Amino acid sequence: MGAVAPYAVFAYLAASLAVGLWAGRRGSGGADDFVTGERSFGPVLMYFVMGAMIFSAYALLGTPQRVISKGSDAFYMLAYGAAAFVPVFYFGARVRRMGARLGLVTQAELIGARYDSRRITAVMGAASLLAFVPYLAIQFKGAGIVMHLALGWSPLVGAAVVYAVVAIYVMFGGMRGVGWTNVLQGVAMLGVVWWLGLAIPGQLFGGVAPMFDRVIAEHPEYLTLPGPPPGTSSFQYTAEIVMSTLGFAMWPQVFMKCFTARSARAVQYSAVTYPSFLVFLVPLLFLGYAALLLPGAPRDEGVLLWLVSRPEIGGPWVFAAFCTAVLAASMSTGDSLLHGGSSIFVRDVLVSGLGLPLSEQAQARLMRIGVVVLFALGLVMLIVASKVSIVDLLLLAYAVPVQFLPPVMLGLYWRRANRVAAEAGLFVGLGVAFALFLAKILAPGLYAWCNPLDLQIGAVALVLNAITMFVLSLTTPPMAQSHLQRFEFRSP
Amino acid sequence: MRWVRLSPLYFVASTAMLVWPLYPLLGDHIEPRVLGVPWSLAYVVLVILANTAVLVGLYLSRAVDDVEAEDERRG
Repeated sequence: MGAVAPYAVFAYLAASLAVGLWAGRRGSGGADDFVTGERSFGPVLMYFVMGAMIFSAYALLGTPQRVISKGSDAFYMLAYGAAAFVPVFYFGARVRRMGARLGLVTQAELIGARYDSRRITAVMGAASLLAFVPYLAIQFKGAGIVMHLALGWSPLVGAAVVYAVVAIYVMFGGMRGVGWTNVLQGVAMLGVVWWLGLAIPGQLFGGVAPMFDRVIAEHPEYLTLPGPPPGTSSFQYTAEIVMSTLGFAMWPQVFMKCFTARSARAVQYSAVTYPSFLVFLVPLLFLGYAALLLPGAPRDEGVLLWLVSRPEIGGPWVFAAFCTAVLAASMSTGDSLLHGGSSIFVRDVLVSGLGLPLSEQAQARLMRIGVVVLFALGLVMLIVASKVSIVDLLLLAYAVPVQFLPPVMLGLYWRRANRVAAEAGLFVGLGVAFALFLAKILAPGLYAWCNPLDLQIGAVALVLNAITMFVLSLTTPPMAQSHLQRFEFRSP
Repeated sequence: MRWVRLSPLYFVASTAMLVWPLYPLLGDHIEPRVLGVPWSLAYVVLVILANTAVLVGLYLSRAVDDVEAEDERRG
């Protein structure tokens, strides 16, 4: 089975490194170049940057796993994608314009500037970094799985090698390196997943329709809610979709891609074309149902690798293609996290938060160092993952960016939103999210008392955040018109 | 244009089609099948396609925030 995979994996890593380093040679080397590629990305690059960044190893390995363990609950990943990117269509042009005019390169910088609050920038930056680390560890894990299966290496060593390659092209290529490698990674992901997602059902069952004929006959409960036991209620399904939709565009690495576009219209174009990337989840769903029909399929994230490893599927070339696709998915998200995290650390925490007077070149140098630090943190997280549940940490990670929704959306569209309200709302939201998370882990009894319905932590915190911000915006003075004009609020 | 200002409501409505109570009523069924795919999945894909069509329309009509820089005027 592994005859071709090692060559494919090394060839892919070499190609990624070459593309990433080549792309970075065209830039000026300063902080703006590192973070935004000097705002030069056209529609094709934006398409792949947005799409490949969003779909990670978690999507590739987790989608079929969710089908085989929870049935049609897995459709939530498609469902929330239907509208999750739409806010970028509406606010992306404005964000791009303000970023270019005011020299802003991160989400926290923009929002901190809107409210004239370095505290907001620093807190959003620090919270973003906290959310990135477990998310990054998931990508490391995906890469480690592939290297273990393709080469027999320990997952830790495999992840370290893959992400050393990523760290190098991010350090020396910056956003240009990330962008152009995302093109390579996106083509690999889309091509392999569509090919396998249609070919495997064809080979095993005579096509997608005959496959679903068998699912309907043998496992109909997997096609509608609540699905197989223990089941997903309509309420849980709804909560998954609503919270994912609300938080999606607020992920800092997604938001800040608005600053990389060559034009405001290019940002909108990326939102319009995003669904063509989103539907690549459909063949992954097909693969989950294919595995469901085969005896002995595992119910964990190894199900897809189990499926492509079966002799009747196609042998070493199929396996090699799949390994490449998983690496592509992992790297295309991981590079954005390394790049975004280091940019956020320097611009939001050091420059805005601590007020360090760093030149453009000094910032760029520190960002490159930050890439290495995040790489190390990701490996540490992977090591301790056996002791600390990554799923638990992801629970916190997903609760963080959704807290940015009130200050961001109200800041962009409501002139009454002011510094006092935004700071208070953000602190309430993040504070409640962290408190509930800690209670859930350390004091389950207290958690049950605070959250008797076991609502999503992020949802509880978001509601309190939004109410705080709304009430304080109405009861405290708005910011000066001269300030608001900088953020495209015309005189009333 | 008023319809442009109301366009976000379309996306709120389309999201409502994918969650309780509309999804269990309208989408959470196996039949009818679309190209062999069960309705519960085809329905979600159809909503995505509808959203895309609306976004394409908004993009091509330059109806939403078409200004590149705040000092430019639409041609």
